[in-house]
Amino acid sequence: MWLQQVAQLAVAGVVNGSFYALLGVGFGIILGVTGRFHYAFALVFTLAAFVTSTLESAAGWPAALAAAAGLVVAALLGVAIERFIYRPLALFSGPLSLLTVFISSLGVTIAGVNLITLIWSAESRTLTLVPLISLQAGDVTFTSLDLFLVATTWALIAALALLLRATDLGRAIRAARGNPALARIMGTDPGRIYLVVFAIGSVLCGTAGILNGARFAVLPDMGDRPVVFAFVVAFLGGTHRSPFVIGIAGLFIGLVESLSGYWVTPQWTSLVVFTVLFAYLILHPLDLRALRTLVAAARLSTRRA
Amino acid sequence: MAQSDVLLDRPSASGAPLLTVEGIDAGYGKKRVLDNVSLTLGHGEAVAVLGHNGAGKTTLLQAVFGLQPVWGGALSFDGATLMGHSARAAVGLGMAMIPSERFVFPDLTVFDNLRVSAAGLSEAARSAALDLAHAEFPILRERADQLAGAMSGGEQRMVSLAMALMRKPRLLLLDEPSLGLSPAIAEQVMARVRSLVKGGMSVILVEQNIPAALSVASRVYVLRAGRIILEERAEQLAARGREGWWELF
Amino acid sequence: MDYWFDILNLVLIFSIFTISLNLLVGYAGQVSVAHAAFGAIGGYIAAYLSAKADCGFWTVLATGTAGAGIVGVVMSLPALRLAPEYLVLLTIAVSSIVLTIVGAVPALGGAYGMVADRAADLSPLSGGELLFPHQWVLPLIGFTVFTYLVCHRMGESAFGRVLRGIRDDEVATRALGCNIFATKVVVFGLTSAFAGLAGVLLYFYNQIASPSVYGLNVSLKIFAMTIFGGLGNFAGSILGAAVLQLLQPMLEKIVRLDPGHAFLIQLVIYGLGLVVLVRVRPQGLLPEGASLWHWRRRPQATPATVVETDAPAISPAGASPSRGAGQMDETILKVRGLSKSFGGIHAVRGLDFDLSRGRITALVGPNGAGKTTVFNLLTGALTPDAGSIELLGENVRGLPPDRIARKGMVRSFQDVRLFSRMTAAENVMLGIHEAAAEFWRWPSGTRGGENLVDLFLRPGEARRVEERARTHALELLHLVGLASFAETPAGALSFGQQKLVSFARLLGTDADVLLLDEPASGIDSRWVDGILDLVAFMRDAGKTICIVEHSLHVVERLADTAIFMELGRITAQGTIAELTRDPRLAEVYFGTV
Repeated sequence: MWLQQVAQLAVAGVVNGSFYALLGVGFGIILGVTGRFHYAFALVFTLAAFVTSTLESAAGWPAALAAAAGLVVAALLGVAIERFIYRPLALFSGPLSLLTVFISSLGVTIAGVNLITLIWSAESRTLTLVPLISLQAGDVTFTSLDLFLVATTWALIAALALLLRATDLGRAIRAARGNPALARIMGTDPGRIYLVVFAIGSVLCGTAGILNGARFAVLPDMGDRPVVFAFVVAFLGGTHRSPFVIGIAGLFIGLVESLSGYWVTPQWTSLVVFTVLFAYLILHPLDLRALRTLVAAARLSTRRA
Repeated sequence: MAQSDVLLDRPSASGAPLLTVEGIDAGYGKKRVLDNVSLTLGHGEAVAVLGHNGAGKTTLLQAVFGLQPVWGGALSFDGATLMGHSARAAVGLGMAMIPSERFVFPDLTVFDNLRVSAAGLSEAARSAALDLAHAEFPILRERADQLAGAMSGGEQRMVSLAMALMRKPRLLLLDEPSLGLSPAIAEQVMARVRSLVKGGMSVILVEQNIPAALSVASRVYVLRAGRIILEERAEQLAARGREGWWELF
Repeated sequence: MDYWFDILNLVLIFSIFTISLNLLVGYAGQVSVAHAAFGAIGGYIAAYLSAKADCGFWTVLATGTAGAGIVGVVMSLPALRLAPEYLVLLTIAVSSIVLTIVGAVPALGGAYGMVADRAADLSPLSGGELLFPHQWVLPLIGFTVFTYLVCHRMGESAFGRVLRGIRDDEVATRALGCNIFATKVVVFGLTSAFAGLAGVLLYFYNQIASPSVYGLNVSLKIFAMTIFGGLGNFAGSILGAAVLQLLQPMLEKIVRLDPGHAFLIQLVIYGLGLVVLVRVRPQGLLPEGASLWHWRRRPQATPATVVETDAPAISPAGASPSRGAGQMDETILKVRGLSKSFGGIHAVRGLDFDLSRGRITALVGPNGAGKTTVFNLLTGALTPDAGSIELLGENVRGLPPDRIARKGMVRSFQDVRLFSRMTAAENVMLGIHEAAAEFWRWPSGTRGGENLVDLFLRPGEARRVEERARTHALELLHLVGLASFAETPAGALSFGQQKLVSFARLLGTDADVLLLDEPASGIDSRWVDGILDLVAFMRDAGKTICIVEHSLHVVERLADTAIFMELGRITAQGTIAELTRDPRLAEVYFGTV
């Protein structure tokens, strides 16, 4: 009966949407504060999954520990990319840094993903986070993993929102995001803030990668599609908004994608998402504040701290 | 207005200046904005830098504060030479600057704005600073949870002053504090600055509004097209009258 | 041997991709990662038509190319106003949409794509089917050379100059009278068409069209090749394609790796190469303007600053007469009731004023009075809420900046905004447009090199127009005393020299009304006299001039009349002497206690 079908699709939408929310929040905080078009988000995503999967299967680590290690690696990679690739490049490229950082991000991803394939081989791997149990609520079915994903995602988003709102670090991040020039005048070190933001974004990204690996499979190209969704959700939600707002944008995308499956076959659902994006880009006036800050952040990062 | 409690620097017994700017040149890309500019500021003195828009007043403040690289000339603060310093270093040395625009964090609450200014201080120093800010500007306690961006121009200026004062700076650099304010509110802001000066604060004030500047400063410099064309005492400039001022701009 | 021919063929096909992408990214500055998707459009149209409609090679080629071009035009429309990062996002969206469609429609073979059932048959040319790699070489060389010639001609012409203007400073280009929207649509359409062409060739060569052949990663690979070879250099695009295509074979043959490893390592190398290259040599292997064949170089953009000379003396001989010699003091611009508010704040309210030929009017007033807003309203950068703007009797309110510029009102910028990678002469030439009345001279209604019809169908005419423009530009540079710097990149000139070139550029537009934003600011005092003399000269030559200047000193020397603005309103008009005598204005200007 159609209600049951819609409900099932809605559940899938919530699960996928939560996943997209996590991606969008992670990418969004990086883009909003640093202005870097961090395509290598896909690499961090993938590496976290590979590390976790290997530690689990080859080294026999318990899931929680392996995942923790995966997240540590993700954070380190993200911070290293900012510190050693983006920052020197942005200082060098001045006003062209948006483009050059994007190009280098692309290069890092291509190199990194293929290095992963060289080291680990292209065969599919598995990753287990929680024992897989089938659950049911009324007429809809879902798994324990689905539940875990939704819970983890929103817990992290809430944690970030709390961090931003109530801690000194969060205030410094929001200050740097909203008025980078004044943050400088106050004596904060933008470079340090950028590293912290990359660490945070990479942890969120790594979590998404590990969850994705658990839901589907761990493959070198697993980051290709998610990174696009990360952009979409971050832009739709608005990189200067609170994590919850971006999260809702992610949920919206997930639901649109899933519910459109009521009318069209699965291959067509991603078309719906991209058409929504296309429509947004045409109709929505430029997010001037975010854009101005992007430019200001890019400009600031070109001067020595 | 009552003398401010914010206190500061003990004026140097020897009378040596707090800040010396000697023959600096500065600019953006190819564009030269400052041409051989010199200025001195004594301890506890308030000096105004006047001039038309685009004369280089803001660039001068930024050069002192470390936000603008200097192409030539020298800067020294309290005897120590400053070379290629950053804003962070300037803050560490005891300078504070309030820009002419966007001088608060608009999407943070008043409380958060103050907390950000106190970042890096120890727990004790931080609460002392906050208490100080609230004592100087009781309104801040009432409006603690209001978004700074939603406040009026005059209120935002008060917040920015509080933010600057929290670290007990020795030198305050103010960029057009009366910009965009009605005469009444501008007078309130100037009154605050006057009481700070009475309490011993050293101030460099950049202004387009000459009477307001003269109500605070004891000495003035006039900048035109990047050069200092005049330096005299405030009374002398006042005596020129408005007809005389047109000549200078 | 066929192995190497195969590699050569792929290099040639990818060169078509990279050369066209270079025109889009390197010349026009529009970053797109959808290039392979346009190839998909071409390739799938080819696959469908050959299989289902039994069409011949040339028909299929033309249709695929045209189809990709049309979709490119459609995609460009929303892209016109987008900031760079949003544009990249748009191209990602387009790529995903196209690939999802071709991968989902059953008639197009779904995820497996469509396999060709016959080889390409180039008849009536060359006779016979192309079955082996060595047979493809000559035809592909032909296609590549064609692409190169077309793109090179466009890039190195006046049209290409407009593209580079768009890349370097869109606002300034528009303010000089170039129709940047039409130009962007044309360049998107044409480059997508070439991508479609390459896509068709790739289909016939590989004998298959599938989503993975044209995926986002292929677009990124094409993008990487273009960057590698050097943005703005077509020979570099071929080189970039070659280097990256050759990596794998070299790894296999010389380092003796097995194909699987070679494939992966090749990708690692070019990823790292991209990271290193963009840091160490961002202009790519071959810089803009360098040519492998002629060793002719366009001057490089960032040499050390030219030694600053004394301010050059202007030479009145060769002055450009004003359009339609008119009476001095004739009213050229009439503004009535001009108003504009931003969110409840009135930036400008009920302005009435006139500008006359042969007079310099200055806008003065305290900070925030609305002077810059007035300029923006007059030039079309902002749309007024109310009021009329009549230029030579014609209402220009609401027209876009490029139309207003061509009707005869242009502005200079406070920060000059020269195109630093172009020479002084090229900068001036960008302001010179020879008008054409015929509607079909599109996209810019101009004659000569800026107009593609002329560029390709009437090369003689294009050349003549270009020569005239060049002569005129040199005359103007001579007028401002910078004739010897004509071939110097604008980025190497001192600020004062840049200001003079920007005035020459404005004069090149032949506009009647010149709005000068702080003409004397930011330059050394010894240059100020020269600039002021030049502005006075322009006034005497019959231009209508309005300046915004904060330095009253300059205004006094230059302006015939002054308009005093306060909080968006005009409160006084008269000579500077009259205004400075007014005590109330003094209070407003200097502030009250």
